[in-house]
Amino acid sequence: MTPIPITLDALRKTYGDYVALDDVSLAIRPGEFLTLLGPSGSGKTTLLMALAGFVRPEAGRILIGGRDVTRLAPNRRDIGIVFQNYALFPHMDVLANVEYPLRLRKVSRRQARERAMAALARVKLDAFAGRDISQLSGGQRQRVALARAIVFEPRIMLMDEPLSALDKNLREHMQLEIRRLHDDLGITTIYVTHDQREALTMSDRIAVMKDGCIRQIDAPQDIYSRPGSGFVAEFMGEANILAGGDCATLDGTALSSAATLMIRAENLHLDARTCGTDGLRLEGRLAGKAYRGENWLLQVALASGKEVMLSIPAAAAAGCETLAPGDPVAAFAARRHAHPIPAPEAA
Amino acid sequence: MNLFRSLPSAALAMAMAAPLQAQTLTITTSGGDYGAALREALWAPASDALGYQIREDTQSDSLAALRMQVMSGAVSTDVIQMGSLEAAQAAAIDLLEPLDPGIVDIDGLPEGARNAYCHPFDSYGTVMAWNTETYGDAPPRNWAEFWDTETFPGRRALRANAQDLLEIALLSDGVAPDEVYDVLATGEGLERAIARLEELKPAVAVWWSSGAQSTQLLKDGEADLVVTWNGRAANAAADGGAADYSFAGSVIGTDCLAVPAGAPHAAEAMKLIAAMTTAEREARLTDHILYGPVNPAAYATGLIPEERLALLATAPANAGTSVFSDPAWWVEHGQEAQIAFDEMMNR
Amino acid sequence: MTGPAAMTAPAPPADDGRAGLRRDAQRERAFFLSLSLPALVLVGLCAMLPILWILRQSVLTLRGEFTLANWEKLLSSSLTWKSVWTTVELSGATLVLCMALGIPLALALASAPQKLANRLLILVMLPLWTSILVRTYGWLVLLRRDGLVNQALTGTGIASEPLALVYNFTGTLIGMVHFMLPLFVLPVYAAMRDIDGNAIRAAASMGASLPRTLATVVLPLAAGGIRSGAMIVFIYTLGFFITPAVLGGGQVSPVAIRIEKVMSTFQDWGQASALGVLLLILVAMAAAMLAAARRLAGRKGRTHA
Repeated sequence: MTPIPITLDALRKTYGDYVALDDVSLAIRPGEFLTLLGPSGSGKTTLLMALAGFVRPEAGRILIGGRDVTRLAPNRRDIGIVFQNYALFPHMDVLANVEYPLRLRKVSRRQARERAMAALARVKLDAFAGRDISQLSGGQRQRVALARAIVFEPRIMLMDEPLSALDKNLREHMQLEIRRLHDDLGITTIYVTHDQREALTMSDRIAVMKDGCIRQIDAPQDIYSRPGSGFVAEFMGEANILAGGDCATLDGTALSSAATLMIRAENLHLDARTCGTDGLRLEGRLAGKAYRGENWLLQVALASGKEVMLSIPAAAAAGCETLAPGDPVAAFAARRHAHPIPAPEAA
Repeated sequence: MNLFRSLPSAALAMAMAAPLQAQTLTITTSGGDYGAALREALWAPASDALGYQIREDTQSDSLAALRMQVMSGAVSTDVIQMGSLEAAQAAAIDLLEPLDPGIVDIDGLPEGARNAYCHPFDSYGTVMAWNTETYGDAPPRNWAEFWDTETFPGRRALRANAQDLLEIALLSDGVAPDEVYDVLATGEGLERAIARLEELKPAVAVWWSSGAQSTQLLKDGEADLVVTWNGRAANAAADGGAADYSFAGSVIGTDCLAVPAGAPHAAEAMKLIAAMTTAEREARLTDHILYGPVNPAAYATGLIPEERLALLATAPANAGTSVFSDPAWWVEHGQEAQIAFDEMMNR
Repeated sequence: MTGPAAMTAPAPPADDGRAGLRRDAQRERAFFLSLSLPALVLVGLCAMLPILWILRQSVLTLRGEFTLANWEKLLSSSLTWKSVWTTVELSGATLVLCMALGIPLALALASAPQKLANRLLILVMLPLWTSILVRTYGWLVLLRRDGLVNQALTGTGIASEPLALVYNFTGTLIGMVHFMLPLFVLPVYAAMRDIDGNAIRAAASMGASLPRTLATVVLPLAAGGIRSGAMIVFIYTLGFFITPAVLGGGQVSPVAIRIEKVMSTFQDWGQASALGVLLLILVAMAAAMLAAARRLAGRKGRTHA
């Protein structure tokens, strides 16, 4: 099956005064793994539900593989969905759950069984076919949900925070597994999450949403290191945003009041030598510190009152243990790590 | 306030003083307005005349109460008011003292009403009632006409109970009132009555089960011809229903007074019964409730106004067409009769 | 993994701790049991004593002697079996109608917005707050020959003459369904409310049409509630008296009506008690059958779609 593109054209949905989707347009490439990332209430789930057909947009069009499906009933869109709470059928066993979409398609009993077993094998649950849903762990349930969503070879896949109910280790493991599954099947996939790390790990592209709008859409590396706004910068990771009055110097001269720079916490160093000769220099006093295993987090208060965050790898943090609050700290960043962004929006 | 405080001691004093002054008898009635009428008209004046103290007890199910007292050997009632059928049932299982014919004037009663255990004192009729809008001035005048569905088309309503209906069925079939129980005593009599009822069955729209229901049916015009009790028929007319009724051919039921087996003051109880059922007192009872005296002499006292006579089942004008229900027959054959009746209904 | 040392050594302290925990748990259970004991005894007495009394009464003559005649008479009478049949027929028909009306109603309630659903639910529950007698007589007024329903039917020409809607099986059934419907809808609605909306969305996304989703997901998941509702309706109606007495017009006599008749006509406690025991057996049989159906459904539902 050849992967297909999805096009959203000025999609709009409001609930009373609340604008859930504010004329969202988006082009998803065939076979792409696209993540909708944003805080809760940003409209990402509404967008997903509009794609699935459970939310009817007031304006705009949805094209799946070039076909306008805006008014098409959900059961005729041929979409595989994986829900946050798995949405398995508790009154059926594992195999019956996975066979369900095939039975709907009048696939013969024997063939349905074969294909369901194959899908279960793909998520390594073929040994659990006869189990009750209640006998499975959360991770296993999510695999069943995955198997059920892929077994009928849908044209696109939608995933609504499928891993958020799992614990951290399992979640990280499943992230890779889902991504591998996607690479094997090549189904165009839209994935919703509020976890930026998950988005970075899995996606071909990430669309960051806020207030019903897509703020930025880019590849993970680009969106992380070259955010288009303060919001995206902060949402994607620990970001320090410096303005003109923040007593920083760039290449030896003070920052102009018009410039706004974003520097990731891990790109600030205590030792100027790691940054080369020209770059950003900050001076302040230690406000707080925390040890996190692989790194130290240092909070440094600048003279302007702004606090910046430093993430120092444990291997390079020889001096961190002895630092006490109030001690003067100088931090440095390479020029290429100081990314100019538009002035912060009024929050 | 003083009155309230002194009440208990006054009651105590009275209770202790009573045995010294006079016999205290206990009378059990069914209570309510009916019980109050019995008190006003019958036992209060009778006990005054005899110099007895009376304790009043009320029981809605006199047979059950009687059984309980006699079987537990703790009889507290001296005189009990019962329905004649219940009384016959009680007598059949030895719950009643035989009445002393030397004290209670059994032979003074009409032949069909005489009873050796329970002395009848008032009566009601099971009568024919009709909708005056349906029949105008020409209602059925007797049971034969009631059965004539061609001359008198209309929806009938009968009680879902063999009692009285067997007698009425035989009357409709040309049996003379004083021969009804002779005919019933032969095996074929019951069959004949049931067959006659079955003939009418297609015209019976409702088999009613409560007296209130029969009033409702008559008043609302739901049924055109209703067999019901005279009091219920009178209520339908009084409530504004287009209804009238006639005592012609009525089956008369009675309430009676009896002495429980092992009553503490049996001899005095007999005297009280005799005093309660004098012609004058039974006539006075009609001042309170429209139940016809069973003692024929009551009608000769001149205490019952002319217009009231039309409302009493036992009024002299009705004699000759009516039948006294025979509790003895019903105790012996009632079960069998009811079963035959119910089977007829089920056919 | 326990080494040889652990095997020869006296019981390790960890085991001691576990045994202690178990003891504590047992003690706690016993404590809570003892707390509920008085209530259990009271309820047991209140529920069992009258039943035992009725059982005893059913093998006594009116004079209080032992007899099996009550039962012989009862079991050999066609009236008994006819009334048992009528009872089952009434309860069964009520159940079927409650399901036919109640399941769509519950479905509508469950899919309505919560606020609206709450309001509608009050309307559904309203009949429960009025006396059954009032409601039954209300139906009498509506259904009788010159009642509103017949007036409407004849007035609009739908029926040429008044229909016999009351004083028969139909009228009784209408009254009973009206009484039982809220009691049926409540558990079904609760079960449907509990269904994960995503399960329904998942079914749709996989291609299930609405009827298909209802048949394969909603109804199976609401089956527990439907079974509870069915149990309530069927068992409750087995003992119905007022509705058939008022709306049946003497033409409908289930066991409860026969009991009343036997009692009121002949004060035959023995016969009436035997009928009461028969009714109790009927209820127990119905409960057992429904329980068996539940077990069966439980087993089947796991392995099949």
